[in-house]
Amino acid sequence: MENIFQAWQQHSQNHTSSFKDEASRSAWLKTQLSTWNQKDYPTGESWKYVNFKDIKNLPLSKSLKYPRLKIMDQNEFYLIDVGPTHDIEKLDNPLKEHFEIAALNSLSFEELQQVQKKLDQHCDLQNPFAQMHLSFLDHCYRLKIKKNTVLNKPIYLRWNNNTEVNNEFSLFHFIVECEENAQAELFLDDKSQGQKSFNSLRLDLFLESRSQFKVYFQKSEADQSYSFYHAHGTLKKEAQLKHFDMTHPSLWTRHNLNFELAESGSEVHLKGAYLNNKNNFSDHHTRMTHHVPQTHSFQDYRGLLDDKAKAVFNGLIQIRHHAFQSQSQLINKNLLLSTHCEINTKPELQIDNDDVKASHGATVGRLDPDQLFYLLSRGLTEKESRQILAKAFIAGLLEEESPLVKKFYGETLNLTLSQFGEVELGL
Amino acid sequence: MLLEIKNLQVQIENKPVLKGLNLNVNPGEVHAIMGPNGSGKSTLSKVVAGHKQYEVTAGEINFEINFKMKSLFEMSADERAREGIFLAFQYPVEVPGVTNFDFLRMSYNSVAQHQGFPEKTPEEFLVFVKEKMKVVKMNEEFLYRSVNSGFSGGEKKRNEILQMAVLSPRLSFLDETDSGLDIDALRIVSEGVNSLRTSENAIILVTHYQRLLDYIKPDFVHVLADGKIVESGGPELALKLESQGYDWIKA
Repeated sequence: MENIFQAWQQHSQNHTSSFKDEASRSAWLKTQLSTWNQKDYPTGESWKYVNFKDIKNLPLSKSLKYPRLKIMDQNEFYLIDVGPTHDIEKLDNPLKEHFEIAALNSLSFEELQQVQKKLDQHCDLQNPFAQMHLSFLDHCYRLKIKKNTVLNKPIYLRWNNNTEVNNEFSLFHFIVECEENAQAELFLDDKSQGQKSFNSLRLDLFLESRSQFKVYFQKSEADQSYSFYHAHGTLKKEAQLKHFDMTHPSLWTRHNLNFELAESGSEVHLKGAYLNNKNNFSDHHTRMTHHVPQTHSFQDYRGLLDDKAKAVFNGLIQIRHHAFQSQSQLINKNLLLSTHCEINTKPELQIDNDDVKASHGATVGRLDPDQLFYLLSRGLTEKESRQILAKAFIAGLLEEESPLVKKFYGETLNLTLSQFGEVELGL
Repeated sequence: MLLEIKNLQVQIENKPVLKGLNLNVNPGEVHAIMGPNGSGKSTLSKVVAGHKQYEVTAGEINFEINFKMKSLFEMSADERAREGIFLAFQYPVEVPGVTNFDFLRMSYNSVAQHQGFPEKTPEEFLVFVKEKMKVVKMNEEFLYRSVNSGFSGGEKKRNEILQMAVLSPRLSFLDETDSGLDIDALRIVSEGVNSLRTSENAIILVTHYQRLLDYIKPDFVHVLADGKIVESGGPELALKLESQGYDWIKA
């Protein structure tokens, strides 16, 4: 059986895409394929807990699905619906003065070259699954928030796959360019699923000087599919990024989140939670690179595991030689609700200069018997009490968020938590 | 009789804490249990409430349910709570992400359902709880904050008494409810507790200090030392402890 990369390359070479002109298409492919020619599944430290056996054996269909976008102005959001059935011709943005959205293959040769130059900054040969997105552009869209624009409401991007079709191979690539002084929020709802399907979502963020961007990502429950999420961000002078991701129980998920603090005064707040039960597997890798002085980053990740779930968290902070007076914090907390679940957590610091403040830590624990007793002593049953405490553990991350963010995560969170804490621990 | 404790012996991590404690409590009574640090006061209240960390090695704890004395050892902590046993914690636990309102209503409905009262809808409960909040002079905003999260020491203690008011227990242990309170908060909390006294419920105050008893008048005072009640008497016993300390007991 050919591997997933070969299949992908085959697609990209054969595909007669709708690039604006043939020169653009050829130029793109030439560059991408010369820098990347992945023959096999990756190995090494950052992939050591990943079992590719199941992915190798996925009987994926030969056809790739091309996501299509539909934009609507709704009460609370600008809704961008991503689904295979929307007609590309109808990509009509009623809000052109605030933001611009375009399929990459509709860009001019010059524009495409600019995008390509930016994406080159996010080249990560250690992660062929992210690289794979670049060999193929029919699934790629670019969002541009214009200079000095402060969006009055968030953009809500919903990735819906047809859940009735199995063995699917779905890709979506979204590039965000936030121009100088622009401010916006993106709610990213990954509802992709489908039995024995493979879904990969890539998000590239380019934040220009003094821009502020917030991403709230949610991966809905998908207990039959294999999912990747790659987010890569580069921040210019005094830009601020907040990235929050929550993963609900899924058969197999891998998140790679890389951020480059490329100019002074830039700041990243990274928060996240992974909730997993049954025999599911999740793997989160974050990499925060401080390239220049006076850059700041904060990471708070929480894991809630039950049954026989297995999770990996690897958080790497790199502070480069010249990145003086930078500050970086990372904390990863894990709550294990059963005696059979497993967490492998590894916070890492690589610091190349003396004048920095950096801290990292990880905790793994069970429910606090005193907290549990408090709830029991108020007449709540043991199951109710365990679920409340599990919720409290995750909800601590959301305390400072806006009501809209709490609503975005809250509904699914309650649904997920109702499946947790079934097994009595006898505390 | 509401509560009957006979020869109670309890250990934690193989270390004996209670060494043969006897206590009888009738409806309508207020008891104060005083004693030095480490005498077993908090252990007693937690064992009655059903904390699993403690191992009962001998003795009995019986509680009146439907006019019959029933052993509490056959009931889990949540079952005891639903039967009307309440413990106001010395260190109330913070539960971020769960509003006080939801928590109180869940507790109330859990107890009400067990005792055969109708459960309350959010609207009905709001009216009900606002009335109860007057007991401890709490603002409505506390309803919408996470349980005890970011509350000051005094606010946490008031929140405990609010829970007591909402659940209307038949037997309440107040574990050092006076600790960490300034004079004004002590007065508010005490007035709250006094307003909840009835001829049908009983309250057990666990405290180091006589000052709480200036506000809440007990019917009985017991001195707990080295895991046993070594002396029982009326309110005058507390005054004696205040003036002479605990050394005379040890002697």
